[in-house]
Amino acid sequence: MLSDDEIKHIEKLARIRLDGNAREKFKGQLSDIIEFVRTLQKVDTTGFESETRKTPFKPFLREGRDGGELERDKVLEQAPENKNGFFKVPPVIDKD
Amino acid sequence: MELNKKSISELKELYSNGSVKPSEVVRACLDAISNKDTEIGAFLEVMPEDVLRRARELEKESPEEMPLYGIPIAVKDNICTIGSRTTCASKILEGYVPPYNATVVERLLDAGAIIIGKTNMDEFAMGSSTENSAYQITKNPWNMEFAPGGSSGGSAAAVAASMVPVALGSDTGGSIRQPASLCGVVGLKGTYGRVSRYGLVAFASSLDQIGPITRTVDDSAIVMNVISGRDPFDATTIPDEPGDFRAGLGRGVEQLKIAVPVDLERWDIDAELKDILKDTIEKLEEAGAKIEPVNFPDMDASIACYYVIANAEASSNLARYDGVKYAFRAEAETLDEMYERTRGEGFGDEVKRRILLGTYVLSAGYYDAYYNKAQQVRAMICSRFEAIFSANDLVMLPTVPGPSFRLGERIDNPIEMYLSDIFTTPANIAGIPAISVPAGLTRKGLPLGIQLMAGYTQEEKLLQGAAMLEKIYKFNKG
Amino acid sequence: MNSKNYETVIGLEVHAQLLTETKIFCSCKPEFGADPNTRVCPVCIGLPGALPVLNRESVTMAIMMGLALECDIAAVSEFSRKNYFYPDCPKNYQISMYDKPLCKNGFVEIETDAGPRTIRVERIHLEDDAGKMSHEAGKDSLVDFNRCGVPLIEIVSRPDIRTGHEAVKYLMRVQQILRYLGICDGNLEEGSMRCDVNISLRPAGSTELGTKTEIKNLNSFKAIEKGVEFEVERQRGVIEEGGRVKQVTNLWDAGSGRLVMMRSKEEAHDYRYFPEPDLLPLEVDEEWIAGVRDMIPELPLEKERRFREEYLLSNYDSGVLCAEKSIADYFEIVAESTGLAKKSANWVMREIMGALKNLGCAIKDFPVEPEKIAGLIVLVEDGIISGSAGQDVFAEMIKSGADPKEVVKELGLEQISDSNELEDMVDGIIAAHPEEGERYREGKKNLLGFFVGQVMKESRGKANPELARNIFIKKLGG
Repeated sequence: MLSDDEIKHIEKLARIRLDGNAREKFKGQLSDIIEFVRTLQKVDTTGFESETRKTPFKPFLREGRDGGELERDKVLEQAPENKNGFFKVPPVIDKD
Repeated sequence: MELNKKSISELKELYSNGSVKPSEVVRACLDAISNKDTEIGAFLEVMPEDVLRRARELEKESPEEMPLYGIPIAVKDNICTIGSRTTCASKILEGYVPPYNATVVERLLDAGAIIIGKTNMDEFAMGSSTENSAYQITKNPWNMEFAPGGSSGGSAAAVAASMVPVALGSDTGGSIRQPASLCGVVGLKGTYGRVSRYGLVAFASSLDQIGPITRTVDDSAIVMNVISGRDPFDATTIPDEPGDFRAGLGRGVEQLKIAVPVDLERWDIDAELKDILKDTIEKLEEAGAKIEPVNFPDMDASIACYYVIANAEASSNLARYDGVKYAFRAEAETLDEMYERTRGEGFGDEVKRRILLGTYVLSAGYYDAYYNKAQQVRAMICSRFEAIFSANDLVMLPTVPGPSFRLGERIDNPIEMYLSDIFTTPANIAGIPAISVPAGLTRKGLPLGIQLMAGYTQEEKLLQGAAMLEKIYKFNKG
Repeated sequence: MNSKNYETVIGLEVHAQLLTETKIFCSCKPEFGADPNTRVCPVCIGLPGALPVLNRESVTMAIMMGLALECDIAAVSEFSRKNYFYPDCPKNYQISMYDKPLCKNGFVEIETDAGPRTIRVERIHLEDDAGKMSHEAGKDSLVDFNRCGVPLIEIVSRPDIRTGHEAVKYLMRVQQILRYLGICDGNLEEGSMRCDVNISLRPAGSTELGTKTEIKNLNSFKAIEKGVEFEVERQRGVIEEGGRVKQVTNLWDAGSGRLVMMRSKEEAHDYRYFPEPDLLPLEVDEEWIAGVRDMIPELPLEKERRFREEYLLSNYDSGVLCAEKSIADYFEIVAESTGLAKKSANWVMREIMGALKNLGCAIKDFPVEPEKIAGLIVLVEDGIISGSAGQDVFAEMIKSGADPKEVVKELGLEQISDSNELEDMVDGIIAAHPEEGERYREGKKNLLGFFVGQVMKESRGKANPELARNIFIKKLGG
């Protein structure tokens, strides 16, 4: 079972805040899911490396194409807030 | 002549002999949508004026040059379309309008298709019932109390209800094939890299594939011919030219070796579905196929592997929804509060569960036990499939262990919901093509589907086999 | 323990922006100082559905640096995702190389006050740059994504550096090589080259590493030297007071000349690295590497060695001339055309470099071609014009870019080296200054300078001073 501290730590890493009730519900569900995926650890994978992602073809690279820049208005019109051509976000406050 | 019920191949015929015009076909589909979709809820957005304008523009062109001339198509709401909302059925992308088209959309438009609207789905394609949409519930056209499956439930329902002849879905762990099975339509997921993912809002990058949902196998092949192929905007697309996917459709199954997993008994498979499978085996043998019992890769491990990899990738892919650049932002005084509240309020429960799980399996101290181990299991499953396909042409098994389930029935039991993907996730894990073909109805009138898988890049064989199943089942005709 | 008993251990991480035509994963063309958010596209701004495709040129440039620093180039390297939330990072993950970098195990040779040193390079890897934030204290922050996706190489040294002075020398050498290769403009102030410093102290003779701290935001050589001194003293203070150094990240504040703590280890990120699924592993074959090897010009150390041997220049002169490749190239053309290496070196180091400083321009924008400078040097050396006239001609050439011979003619600066003409002039001057002549003959020999001055004045600088001097000695007698 995940502890309160563990789920809060994951919330923090994922930048998702759960309220108290949701946290309780999720703690149980996530613990079940983690228990479920833990079955993986019983699988014998001797001889299989995770490292090599095998692809039967050679990856291709970009050779430099014409600019695909968007018009700034198109970029900013979707933003919740913008100012003078910039995206605007709340202040970054150092918690110390 | 109910034009909305015609298949793509039938419509092509009608266009080429000049007996109908795109605007008539589009009108028939729009009428079907307005008659049925209030109840079914397959579409999140339909733009009748744009659709009719496009149809009339096409009327100035010749149908011969365009493989999808005048074909109305619905597109899952996680595929970017310029100028129309693409929300992934999520509140966090409410009102988002992309400034670019997905590569598949460009290809469809170049081929003369008419994009008629965007279909409902589980939020960010996470789910198997389309109930995880932030906007609406979609009902199974066969029985309005049942789920259409998911995550491409809107696309499957739209095709099943003859609102369109074809819809695009996306399949990360079965999200095309499972709703196709539950709605009695054909759903195809190609080889990983067959269809460009550029403009498909990512769920799990190493598993996602776009594919068609249609009423006939031939229609699936026609659409795959248009949307497949290397894309300079997607480095994971296969460089070879795909060839003609319709080429094998009439060939029958003589000499084909079809493998059937021996241990299907282990799974709680619906009795009527078991009968269908048994009957299919007999008919295929009659048609000259050779049925081979095989040991299938460990499916429990496969689904656990799937949930680790898919959610790890998702936790990173969905990090960009943060309230800075587009769509939803929660009010906040500080940056961290904005992040946490935007994501806490903008994502639904299933998405949050998966992001949190994905974050957990990648976090310090757990990476090796979960993510790294899952990658090893993945390598093992791939190698197991390679062995199977070195000796066999196709694998046949159910798409889903049973028919559809009642809306609301599984929503609070994530693991039970996950287990309905047991037969579909292996194809995503291994990156191989797979198709669901409608096989019949239960006594209660709910569709059942049979799935075929083929080896890497062997879509032609896959469709060859699927065409035979279609012939055996006569689902759409009977 | 007195303070001499500590050894400082420093490792540097240098980030260099590559001068590729387009960004690393998309087709945007970067431009320093462009209006905010005008150099962005769906890929670099992380719009839903967009995918990265690796730019070949950025790999080529990274390999160039790898070869220049004698690294091994990996046949297969891999991009990973580094996950962290910050508004300047639109996807909230950076695409960087983690456990499989492109280049490994190289070195950099530096000259220090204490002689030559070799600093080992652990790795060089490719990654994408973040955008830029501007903060107003307590107010909202603004984000510009133009810099997102500009290719960076990160050059990570081993902890082989012992002093701030060595750190600066290392950095200057890295900057020089980057510029020689033409892959980065190496501008610390504009941030096209950035440096993070890791510092720890350990008892002299110990081989274990102490707890390190990191300094970021060092945007000049001076800041690096000062920052290192500051941090070494701080750590020494902590240790000598019996305390323990904590693992922290400090920002250098150039304004106050102090370090400001940014974050401590306890708050350090858990980056949850995993292989980037949107990009396949990068394969570099021998042919590619051989092609890149051919593109590498003569590097500074080789060039300095050759200048010493071929042109018989001093260590100092060859060091100064080779500091910048374009200066060295300029010098070589001058030296080859004049056949006078030392004179040419002096002209380039004194006149040309002086003029560049006054004009505030780079040699590529210098208005006088090296062939013309060579012509000027020859005119002076052949005695056609005087040294001082040479300076006037040079000044005129900078203004007009004209050929030196034309300038000499135009200004009438050709020296009078005809003895008859000069003898007449000398006779006249001696006649006009009888008193000075008398005093000279009485032994005031330094009046010779006065007489030569008179002849220069009368000839408006054109008299050959050496010749005039000899004639005076002969005529004045005594």
